[in-house]
Amino acid sequence: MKPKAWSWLVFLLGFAYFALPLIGTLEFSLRKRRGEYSLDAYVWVFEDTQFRETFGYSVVMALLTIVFGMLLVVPTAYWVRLRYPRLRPVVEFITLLPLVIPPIVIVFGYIRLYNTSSFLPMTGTTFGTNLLLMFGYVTLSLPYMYRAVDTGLRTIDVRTLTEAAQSLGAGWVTIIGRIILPNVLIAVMSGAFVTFAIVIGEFVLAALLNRPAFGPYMQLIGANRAYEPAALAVIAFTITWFCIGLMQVASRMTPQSRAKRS
Amino acid sequence: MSFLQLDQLRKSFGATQVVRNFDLEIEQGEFVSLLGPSGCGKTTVLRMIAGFEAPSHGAIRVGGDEVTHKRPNQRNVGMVFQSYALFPNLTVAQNVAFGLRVKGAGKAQRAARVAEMLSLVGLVDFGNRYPFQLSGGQQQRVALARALAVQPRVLLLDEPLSALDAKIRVSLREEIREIQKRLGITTVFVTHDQEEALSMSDRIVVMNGGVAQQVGTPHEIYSSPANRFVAEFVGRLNVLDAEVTDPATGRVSVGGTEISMGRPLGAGTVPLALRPEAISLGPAPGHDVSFRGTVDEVQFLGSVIRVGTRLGAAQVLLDTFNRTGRKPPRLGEELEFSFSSVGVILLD
Ligand SMILES: Nc1ncnc2c1ncn2[C@@H]1O[C@H](COP(=O)(O)OP(=O)(O)OP(=O)(O)O)[C@@H](O)[C@H]1O
Ligand SMILES: [Mg+2]
Repeated sequence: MKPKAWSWLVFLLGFAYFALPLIGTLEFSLRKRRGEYSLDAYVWVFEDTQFRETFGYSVVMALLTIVFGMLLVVPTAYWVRLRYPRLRPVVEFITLLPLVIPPIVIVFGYIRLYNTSSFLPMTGTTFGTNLLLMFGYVTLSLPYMYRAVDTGLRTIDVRTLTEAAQSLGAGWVTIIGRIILPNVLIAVMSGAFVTFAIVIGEFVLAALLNRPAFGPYMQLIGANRAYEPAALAVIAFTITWFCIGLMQVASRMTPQSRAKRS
Repeated sequence: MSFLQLDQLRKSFGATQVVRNFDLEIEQGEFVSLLGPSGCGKTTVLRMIAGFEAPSHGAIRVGGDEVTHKRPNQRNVGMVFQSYALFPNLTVAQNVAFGLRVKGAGKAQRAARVAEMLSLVGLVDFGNRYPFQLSGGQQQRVALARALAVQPRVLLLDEPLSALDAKIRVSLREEIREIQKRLGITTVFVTHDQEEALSMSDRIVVMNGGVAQQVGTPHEIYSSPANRFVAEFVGRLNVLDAEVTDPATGRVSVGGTEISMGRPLGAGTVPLALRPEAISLGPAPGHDVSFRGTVDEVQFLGSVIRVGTRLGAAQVLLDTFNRTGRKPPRLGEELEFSFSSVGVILLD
């Protein structure tokens, strides 16, 4: 075979690998009514109040995770690049830990550290538990967020821009808020997409902290019903991509990216 | 008292001392260049004035206030970088307004000042552009406008022209000097380009190895270099080893040509230097020393012709104007050359 034919074969294999399960799920989700395709399973899902509640909860959590992750990662990555470039491998390694340590270990650690009889009884209140869950999500998204922001910082001359701003009288908050963050926003967005996807589908942390998130809900439906889980998967997939699309559009609205395209 | 004082500045990075006992006094409105080879510590001195590096020893005073330990954002010292360092996410106008915004200036005030600054640097219609939509020269002008917008007490420029091509470099340096004179702003300009330093400065500091070798006006630096380094670094130079024939009256001999230095010298050999333009082809008024030599190099440089010959053991180059109707010397031609003993620089 010619090289071109080979690359087509590989492409088709890859496409099948990704698309077949999706197509299969979609097809199955439409078969609730015997003998014909129908949207019955979807109707059931959308009428389920739990679906709306858990999905809304997870979306809010995802957005908060992105905001807090950004507040944590951007100044850290900036500071490391500016002042402690030699520490970069160390910090990078630390941010990679969540990939190596299973979430179950993290959540057990949290529960041990912050249970109701501990020095900081965060699990004692709903707010505290929500906070804990959000920080857990921030941790899980750290590897992607840090990498994305660090890559973004590489595209600008962090040190000289900082010095230019300083010589004009700017302090750290102004420098990070007006110069650094806007310049890495597009990179932050790509970290945000991944974070969003992680949080929407996350099961372990939410289940063990007993929060009404979308992950545990999916698991519950999956264990108890036949066609609805497939419909749910398709819906979740669509909404997630829709949200990511929205974030894309939002990030394109920044003056810099507008300028870059013109 | 001078406006900007650097008092016994020292800076070490680890064990290496990069700036040694650096003293400098700059008057208000003066334009001073730091000139020296790569790695001699020019940028380090400038960064200490700006506050980006803390001196290991010594003091910095601006307008009588000690600023040695002040943070860079509290010094009100403007800086222009070689790499322009414009904020890529802000328009030209926003870049220029940045410092005013930080200071809390109102919108109307900012707009007025931005307009004033952009007209100063000749970029009135560029306010809405982004930095990447500008040429290098335009970007550097924006950087200058941005630094000047907050009316800094001192303006620092670190090789602002090195990233530009030759033609823009010359026109922009004239423009910078013009603006500096108009605003009367005290300026320190770092360069390794002697032509830049000579043409722009009120005074030049020639640096080497972290030490100020000589401080003086361009004319002083060029005509009476304080030492061999300055003489060789600034301008072209012919260096000749001369035999002292009469120590008491200062007569020396180079390859049989006698020169009177007019002052007592030690016995032995002394190094002498001659600028290429001090030597002329044939006799000339005031030239009391002449010698014959064979032309061994001819470089045609447009308005100037550079001719090489030998005097004693050393090759000497001389510059002569290209005049219409006169043929340039030919290689191998034997000619008479002359110079004035007053123009001979004694190196130590
Ligand atoms: N942060 C630093 N850490 C260690 N050494 C440094 C640092 N900054 C500068 N140096 C050293 O100090 C010396 C002087 O550097 P500096 O940048 O002041 O030179 P310069 O005169 O500006 O040279 P150039 O013309 O190449 O810009 C160099 O040998 C350089 O390697
Ligand atoms: Mg330098």
